[in-house]
Amino acid sequence: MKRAALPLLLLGTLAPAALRAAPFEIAIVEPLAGTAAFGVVDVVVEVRNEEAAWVELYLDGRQVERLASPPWRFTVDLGQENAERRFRAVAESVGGAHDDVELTLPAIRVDEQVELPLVQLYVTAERQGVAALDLTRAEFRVADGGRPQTLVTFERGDVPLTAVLLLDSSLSMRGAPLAGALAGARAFVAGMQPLDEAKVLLVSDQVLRRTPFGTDPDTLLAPLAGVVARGGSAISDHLYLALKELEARQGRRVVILLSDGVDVDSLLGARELEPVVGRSPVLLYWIRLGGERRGVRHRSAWRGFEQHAEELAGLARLVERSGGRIFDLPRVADAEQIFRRVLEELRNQYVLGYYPSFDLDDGTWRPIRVEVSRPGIALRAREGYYDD
Amino acid sequence: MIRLLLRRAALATLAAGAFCAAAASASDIEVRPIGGTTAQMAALLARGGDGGPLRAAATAVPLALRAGSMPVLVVVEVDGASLLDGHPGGRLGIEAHLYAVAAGGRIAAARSEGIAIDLARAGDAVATSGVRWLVPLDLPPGDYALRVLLRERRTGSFGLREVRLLLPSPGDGAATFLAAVVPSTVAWVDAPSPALEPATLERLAAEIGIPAAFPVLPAGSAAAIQAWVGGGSAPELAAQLTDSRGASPAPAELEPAGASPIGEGLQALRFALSLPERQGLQDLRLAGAEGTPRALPQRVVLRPAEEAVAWNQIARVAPVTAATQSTSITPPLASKADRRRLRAAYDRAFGRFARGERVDAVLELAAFEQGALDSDRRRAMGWLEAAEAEALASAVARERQALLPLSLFYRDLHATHLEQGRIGLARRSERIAERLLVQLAETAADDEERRLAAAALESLAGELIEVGAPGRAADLLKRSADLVADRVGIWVALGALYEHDQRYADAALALDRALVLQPRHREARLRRARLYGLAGDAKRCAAELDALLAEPVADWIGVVAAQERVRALFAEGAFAAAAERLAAVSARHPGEPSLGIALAYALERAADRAGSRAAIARAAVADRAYAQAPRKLYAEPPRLLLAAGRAEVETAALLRLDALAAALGATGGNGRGSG
Repeated sequence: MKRAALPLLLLGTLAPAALRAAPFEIAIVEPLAGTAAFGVVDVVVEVRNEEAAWVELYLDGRQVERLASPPWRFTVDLGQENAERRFRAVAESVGGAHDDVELTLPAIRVDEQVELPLVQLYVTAERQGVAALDLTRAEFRVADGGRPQTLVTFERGDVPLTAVLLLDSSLSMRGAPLAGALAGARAFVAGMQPLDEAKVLLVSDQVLRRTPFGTDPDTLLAPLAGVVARGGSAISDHLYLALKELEARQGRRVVILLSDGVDVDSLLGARELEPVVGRSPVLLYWIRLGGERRGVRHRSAWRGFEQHAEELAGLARLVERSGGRIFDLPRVADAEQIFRRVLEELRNQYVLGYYPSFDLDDGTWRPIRVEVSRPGIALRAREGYYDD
Repeated sequence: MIRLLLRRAALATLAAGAFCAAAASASDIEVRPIGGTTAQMAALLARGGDGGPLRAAATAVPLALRAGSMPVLVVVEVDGASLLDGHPGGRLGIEAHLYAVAAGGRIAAARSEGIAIDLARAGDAVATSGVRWLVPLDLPPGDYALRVLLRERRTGSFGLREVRLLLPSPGDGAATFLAAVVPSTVAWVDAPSPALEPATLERLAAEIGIPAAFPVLPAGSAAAIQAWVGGGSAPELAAQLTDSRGASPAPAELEPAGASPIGEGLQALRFALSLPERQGLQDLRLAGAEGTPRALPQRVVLRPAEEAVAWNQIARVAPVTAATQSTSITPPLASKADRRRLRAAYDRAFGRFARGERVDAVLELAAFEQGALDSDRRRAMGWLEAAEAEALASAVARERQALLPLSLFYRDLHATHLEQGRIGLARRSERIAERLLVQLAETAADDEERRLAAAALESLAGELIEVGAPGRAADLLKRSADLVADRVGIWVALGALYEHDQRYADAALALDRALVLQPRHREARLRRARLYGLAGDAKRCAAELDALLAEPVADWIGVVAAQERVRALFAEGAFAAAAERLAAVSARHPGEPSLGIALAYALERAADRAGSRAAIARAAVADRAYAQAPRKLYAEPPRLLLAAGRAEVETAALLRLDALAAALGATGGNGRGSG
């Protein structure tokens, strides 16, 4: 029932007992009305006059969560879009009374919205397999859609990163493989810099464990203790989930997938993910458990041999397209070493930024070509992006 | 005869004069109604029959005789040891489901309850005896299959039991005989349904006795039994005990010992029944004069008087494992085949099996066959096959009932060879088991025999799946389905197996058979829809999937139907349409993460980025309602369904060991061979 102010005249007709018992009501006390909100925010509901049995929060008409005990605090990721947001809280008291309340947060008002799509490229440069760390801005040439671009930013080394460690925890990972994967994750988190952040997702055909983004290895890894690998594998579905987890973050973002890549249970496939990866600045790294096992064929109820092979090839293509890399891991015991190598590669990347000299906004694929004038240097960067 | 062993503890208790479980008070046990069951459990219930590692026995009796609906008490006894097997302690949680299936498969009544037992307080009592679920139903006159499904929540162990209940209409003053009842003397931990009136239960327990689900009676002495009769004056009754071969030993004598009223129009006539010396499983039949309706027989087991305790105190025959000590023998082969000695080895092993020496018989023959192969790898297989074929043909020609125990022998032999890594011999044993079962199926004389043969074929099909032979499993299942052709679940399982084996045309035929029997069967429709898609008929596939999605049912089938429909829409680039369907199905399945992820994807591709973010936030914390992912449920072969009949088949095979013994009598197999 929507709350409405009762006319004073009506109050005058109520029985004295009813006047003494103030009605159950709720209010949204955070965020403050009239302010715009972005990113992760806490929504706090205050309950008055009677205990609440539960409180539900809706955002733009969709249910976010139902809490059954205080504190009535909901954490919501609003993303970075400048848009009006409509919260609605609904609650029931222990006595069965209901109340609901709405709060609309405005978008930031602007007279003119100018989009400045800075394209950032994370470039790995190697000379005979060893990181080349002495390249200068002047040596790089970038072409976007075939047209030369002017670099406006150039950095090297420790640009902070936000990583999702996506660890396959399906039944085939039970025991030593998962223990190795977790040891690798521990090594990665332990090697992070103070401004880096990571979260860990243990996934099979569902999310088995999920940590918040953080930097402290103990906080990040403690919730993973005792997890037992189980269930099927839905790699593509959870790769999409990982990309979405990073959508609201800023700066250099990376997904590190540890899996053999054999995906039986995903609804999404490489074909579905291709446009998502093409629009995302996220770098994909694939620590390929067991390495590239040529001649090993897979079949499931959902995909034949050919389709499974295509999916594996498709996953590899996504990694390349993002500018990331596949690290083969023949023995899971080497996982720690491989995770450290990924971190080292990220530390040694060049970060090049430019504003594209033309804008089509037509959703077409714009290939990016990065070159360096110095001979003998191999470069790896994202292959392009969708212009929309 | 079956080798029956008693645990030492039970013997010691008996020596003290009575069987008495440790006490458990009502406060240690909580029974409350619960909702439905999981899809897999529902499939098992739909299948019927007996099976599962949870040992249980059930019986049902009316508590009154009247026109219209009658109160019925169902007694389900659950073995404590199998309940506690693998249980970590703490709280025992049993899901207990009871369905009364009337003619034509209609569910006439059902009850689902959760039984919680605090093991810290009642664990000893449960371990000593077990749990007895007492549950009432109201049923009109008719012939019912009562299907009981039990599942321990933490171990996942399940037991499936089926018991027949015949409720006659009240006669026109003539006596109506309803049940042969043996009151239980075992101290079970009682879990009475909250739907059962405490006063009714107390009076029944005090004045009549709670019927034993599977009575154990003392061979060669007298037992207290009851005939529950309704209407008119008490009929003249005679008792008969029959064994599995239908042979009738001397009629058992009935000595009247009074009567007690039970409920409206119903009384318990008490008798002292003089039991024969012959031990083993028997059917107790009480029959009245001509014209008196006969009650269903009560299955009992006769044991020596000092060992007649509870059915679950009779030890199971140990399974054959590689760890079991092998009884090695010297192969009789040196340089050439001695056909008679080979044949004698088979007869001897079959004979030991018939005498109840199941493990040793199988190990002996396994070692013998391996020894023969070792002595002449090139020719031994041929020799073995010739001798074996002769031994089998001779036994089966004498006694057709030997087919089932022989098939069990070969299944054990298959498992033994497999465990010891003898793939060739294992495959050969498995083929012989299959051949014997096919012969049993082809020569089945009546419905009961056909049903048993079907269950045996299904059980063997289940084992073939486990050894990676789904194609052969499907062939066996097809025989089983044809044998008892009105079982929807088996046609669906067959369709699934064919689909798994990529025999899509056969799968379509099997599923079409299921849909003829039950046009609205959701799993059959889902699988059929997918086959349309695989055959290139995208339009019909989409229409069938949309029809499934339009039904307001929240099951795993709906999830898979949505997933398949959405995959097609993604391929067409119809993201808004996909999002619309996913939103509707997600609302029905808020805990299914794959739907949430797909919805987020569809919304993102349909340019609703805020909606996409909200959907992914929900998906990331979704808590799946099913123990397995719906796609896995679809893709997994129907293992549980096929394994469910195994216990029933094994029991039936062991009941026919005397037939095998008789068949071997003339061949010397029942005696000690020379080796």
